[in-house]
Amino acid sequence: MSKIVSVHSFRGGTGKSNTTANIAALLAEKGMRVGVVDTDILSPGIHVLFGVQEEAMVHSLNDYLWGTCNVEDAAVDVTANKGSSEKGKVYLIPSSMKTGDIARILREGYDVGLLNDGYERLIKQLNLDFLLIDTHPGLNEETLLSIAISDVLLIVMRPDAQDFQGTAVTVEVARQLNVPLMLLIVNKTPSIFDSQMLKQRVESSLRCDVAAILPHSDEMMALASEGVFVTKYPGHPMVRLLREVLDRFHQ
Amino acid sequence: MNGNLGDILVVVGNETINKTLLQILTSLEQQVRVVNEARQALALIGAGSFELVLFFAPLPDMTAQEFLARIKDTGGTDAVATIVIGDPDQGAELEQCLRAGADDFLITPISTGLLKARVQLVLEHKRLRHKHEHRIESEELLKIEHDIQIARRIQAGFLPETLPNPDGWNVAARFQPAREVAGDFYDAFMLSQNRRLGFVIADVVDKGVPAALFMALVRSLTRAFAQQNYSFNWADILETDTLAQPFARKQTRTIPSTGTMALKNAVQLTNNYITENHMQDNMFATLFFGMLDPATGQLAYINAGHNPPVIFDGKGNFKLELKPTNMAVGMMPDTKYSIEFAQIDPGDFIFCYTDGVTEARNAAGDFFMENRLFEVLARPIKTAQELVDQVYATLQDFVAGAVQFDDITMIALMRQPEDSGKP
Repeated sequence: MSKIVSVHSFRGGTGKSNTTANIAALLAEKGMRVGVVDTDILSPGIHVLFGVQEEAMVHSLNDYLWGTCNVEDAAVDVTANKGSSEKGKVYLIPSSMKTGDIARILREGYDVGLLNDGYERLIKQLNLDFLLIDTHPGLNEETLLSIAISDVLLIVMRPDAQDFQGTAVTVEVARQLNVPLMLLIVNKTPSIFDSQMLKQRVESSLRCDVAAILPHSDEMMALASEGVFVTKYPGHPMVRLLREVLDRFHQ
Repeated sequence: MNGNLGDILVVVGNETINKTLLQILTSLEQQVRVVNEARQALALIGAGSFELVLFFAPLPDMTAQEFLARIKDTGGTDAVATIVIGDPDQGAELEQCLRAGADDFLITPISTGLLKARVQLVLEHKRLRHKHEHRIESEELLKIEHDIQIARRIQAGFLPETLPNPDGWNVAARFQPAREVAGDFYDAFMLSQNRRLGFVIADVVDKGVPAALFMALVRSLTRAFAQQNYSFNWADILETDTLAQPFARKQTRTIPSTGTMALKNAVQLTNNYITENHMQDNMFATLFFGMLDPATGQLAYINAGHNPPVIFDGKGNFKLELKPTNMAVGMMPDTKYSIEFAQIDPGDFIFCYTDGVTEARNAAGDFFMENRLFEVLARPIKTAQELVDQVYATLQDFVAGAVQFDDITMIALMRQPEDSGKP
């Protein structure tokens, strides 16, 4: 059965979108059909990682919400080696980058029930094994909905006091929403930190499993969101750590 | 302009009535009756149609003021006219009588011409006053009637001008108030960018103008709240200590799907508004709100104490009754309304009605009842319009012109059978 994985962080700048893109690419590499929905409608961005130009977006999630297209019409094939006959695929459903479209969402809101129906339809129409949801930081309606319907919730945080407090809130909410599997990814860890000690500290204070402690990476910084890291640096030690996260999905 | 003139009553007291006086009065084409005591006079005034009372002061059995006051009591604004007759030395008493409401006075000895003139004048005056009062009354009635007609027009504006007819569906409704204005309403409109058809039927307790005012409020609130996207339901989960329902993703019904937020907002927020602002009016409405996905026939609904809409298949078989899920709107503050689901397959129809249909009475006092309604619903029918027309016609045959007691409202949605083309 297909799985819905939401990737969330309480605060911005934790590497949430990069983590989502990396996990999508790794799942496709394993032969999975993956959909990625950018529900960060007010500040979209993950399309940049997949190299989707604004002009190339014929439709966006916004068009679906406004009833001008079906949700699968907004899907863009962003599989790394598109031409290959590999079974694995990544489809991105981007949110619109047009100022007017973002303003319209702010002004009118939208029926969040559409998101839920849209997720189910995407899974069916694109025959997906995994649907990844890149969420808006903090708690808002679409984030709560996405968390509530997830089979797996990945919470990305930095080893930072602000993130600690914020993540505690997300963990609490996810518990109340009865998410079947909740995993933490500690990202951008300075090299002077002891991973094992950090893992224990996070797990005991947040009472939630840590799936990976990812080191701060100069290569990632240098890539500056102009590509998906695991595709550009397949041999990097970080890739192995991310693969271990995928293994946890079948828990 | 003699019209339906009343008689003249003369209370003579201890005086002996003089023949000339009687002759004069009779010559005015009036019947004249003579009594001795005030009490006798009052009894006659209460029972009869006297227009004028002439009396001699003082009266043997009560004071003139008391007599005048009691005459007034018996007649209200249509009280008979009064003329008091006294001796020249009774000036003070006559004055008191005028203050107590006597229309005029005469001093003995009575001159023929003066009596005739006074009587005619008083009668004329009384008739004019009477006519004037009636004109004011009927003018006021006309004004109210005019206002009610305007209210009726405005209320008609609270019903949808056209009904939505999404592909594969047809929708029809009927609205027949018992009086000029009604407490029932129906509504149907598209939501979520034409992906959902919302429809409502409601019955405000009570009839006439108060119910109509309340109907306008409930209809406006439900429609306005259904069209706003923000919801508070998620926040509820975070504020309470209780856990959300254990979630299995394939049970998409446990969480918001398209249109369910609108449905919940419409009923819950309307209830909150009414219970917060109109609790003292003791008004409430039974209401059914359906949220239909025209593409799949899936129906999400809230039934707030309304008599159950029914689903029949195309072959006339009863399928399902959509029983109340919660109590009526406006009854209990903070009621949490729950959503139920039903499926309308190709060829099926859903029929919603108010109790004015089943409780319509014929002249013998028999109710139309559910069994008669269901008989009509089971007949082969092709469109929602035909269905509503048939029910209404059968209802009319049944009541056969008896007075309508309650508003009659119905709305039907029919899903076309799969093999048929577009209408």
